[in-house]
Amino acid sequence: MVHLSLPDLTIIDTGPGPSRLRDLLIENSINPYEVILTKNSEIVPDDLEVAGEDCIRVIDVVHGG
Amino acid sequence: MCAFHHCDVCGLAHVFTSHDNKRHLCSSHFISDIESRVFNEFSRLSVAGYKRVIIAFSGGKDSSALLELFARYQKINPVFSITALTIDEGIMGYRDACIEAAVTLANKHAFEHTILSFSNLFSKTLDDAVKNNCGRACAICGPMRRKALEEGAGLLGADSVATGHCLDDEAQSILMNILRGDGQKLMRNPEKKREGLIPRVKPLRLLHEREVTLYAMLTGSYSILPPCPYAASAVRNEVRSLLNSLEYKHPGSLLRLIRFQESLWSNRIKN
Repeated sequence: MVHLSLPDLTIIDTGPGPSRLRDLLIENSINPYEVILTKNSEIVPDDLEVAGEDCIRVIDVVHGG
Repeated sequence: MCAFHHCDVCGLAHVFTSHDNKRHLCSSHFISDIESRVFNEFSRLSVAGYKRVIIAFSGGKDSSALLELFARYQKINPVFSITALTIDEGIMGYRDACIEAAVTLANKHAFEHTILSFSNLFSKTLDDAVKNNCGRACAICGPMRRKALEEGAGLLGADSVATGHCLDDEAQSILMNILRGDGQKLMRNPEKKREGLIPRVKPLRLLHEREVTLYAMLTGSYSILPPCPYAASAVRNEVRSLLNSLEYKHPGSLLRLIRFQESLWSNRIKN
């Protein structure tokens, strides 16, 4: 189960199995154009396939200061 | 399980996929790509005769990226005399963190840095000015900020004010001016020299906000700052959301809005 950590600090647990990050964002009503993603503090692109217990931090580029 | 991804230039793991041309770039080639595009713009400004540049420097991600880019350009081509100018609007619980970030970054690059406050210039903070009118905070703040920047740039002897406006900001402004029916603003080219006004230059105007943010993060000039407490009330948020949705579904929409405005400017000159 992949965990998406959102800018408002909520965490979304997605379904099992590998998924493309971009698809996970869209499923959760997040526009991929508006965010940058990190995995283990490393920036990752939204076409990355994730699976298992991956935890992805979603950073809002629109209101990021 | 991760799919294998790589940079189109060097084959290393990529950090960025351009949503419009689907280019994949690793960290260092992404930075080079941004610098090459913005440095071309700096060269154009230098050729146009701008020498004494004030950077409108809020300490937020866009102006921090702009400061970083100027600092790197100056190392290879020191043609500008630069001062960073921060305007303190007086927003309780927000501005202090931004100013601290601004001071840290300006010091890192040894840029001259001036801070001017609304309370000194206008004898009131933004919090005072919007006390009974929070819904119009951005409409009140915008003109005050522009006046403060103009005054500061005049005091510092600038021939231009460089702002961190990116493609997204510019496209939003175009659509907002259309929605307001404000043809005059739509037709105004801020870089054009006008009597009594210091030209505004926008070296990031063709970069997506996402690219600017990523550049700031990868170069260590990004600070996580609180959002402006008044921003939620802005009409701009609705326009931004609409345009971002269009840009995702129809890549290139923002750039086409910019080109549309440029075509208006050039038709005006011809006519």
